[in-house]
Amino acid sequence: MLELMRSSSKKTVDLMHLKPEHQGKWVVMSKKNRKIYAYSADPSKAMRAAEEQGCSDPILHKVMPFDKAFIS
Amino acid sequence: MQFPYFKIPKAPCLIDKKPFCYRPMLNIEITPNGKKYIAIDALVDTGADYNMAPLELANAFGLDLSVYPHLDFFGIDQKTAVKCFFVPFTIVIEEKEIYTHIAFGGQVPNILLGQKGFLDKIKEISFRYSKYFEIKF
Repeated sequence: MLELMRSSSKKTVDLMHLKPEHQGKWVVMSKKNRKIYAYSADPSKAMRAAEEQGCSDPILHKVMPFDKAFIS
Repeated sequence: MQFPYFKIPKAPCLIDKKPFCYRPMLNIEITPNGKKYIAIDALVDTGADYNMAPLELANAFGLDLSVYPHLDFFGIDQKTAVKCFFVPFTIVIEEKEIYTHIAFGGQVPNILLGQKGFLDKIKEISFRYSKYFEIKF
C-alpha cells in the first residue's frame, strides 16, 4: 500500500505538442506542465534560453525523429 | 513505484497508422559531481548494454572525455563503431540515488538507461505497455 501511495502518477506524459522542427533537438520544458520554453541542438543553449524566459523547473528532452523507428 | 509511458509523435506507417508511439521514459536528474544537476527524460532501453548519452550532453557538464575509459559500441548495421566514454555519474529517480556510469558518444540518439548501470541496480522492472511500468528499487 505504501508503495502504491508513493507511486508517480500513472497518467501518460503527453508530448504530442512537439513539432517537426523539434526533431533532433534538445527541448526544454517545464517539468510540471510540459510547456515548451526553448529548443536547440546544444542543450546548454536551450537551458539558458528557457531560464531567460522564466522556466523555473526545466527538464531536457531529446526529440527523436518522428519518421523513423528506434532500435538500440 | 509506477511510472507513466510517454506519448510521442511519430509518422504513421503501413503497419501502424497512429500518429504517435509510447515509450517508457523516466524523469531523472543526473550529475557527475554532486554539484551541477540536470533534469532530463531518459529512455529505459533493455536492449542497451550500458547507460548511454549523446556527446553534447557531456559538453553541457563541461566534461573532458579524454580522461575517461572508452569502449567501441555498434548498432543495427553491426559495422559502424562509435567510441563512447564512461563517466561516473549519479542518477536520481524520485529521490533514489544510483551511483553508476554513463557512456557518452556521438550518434547516440538519446539518453538511454541500459542493462549495466541501471537495470542491474534495481530489483525488478515490469511493463504494462502504453500505460505504465513499474520499478522495484
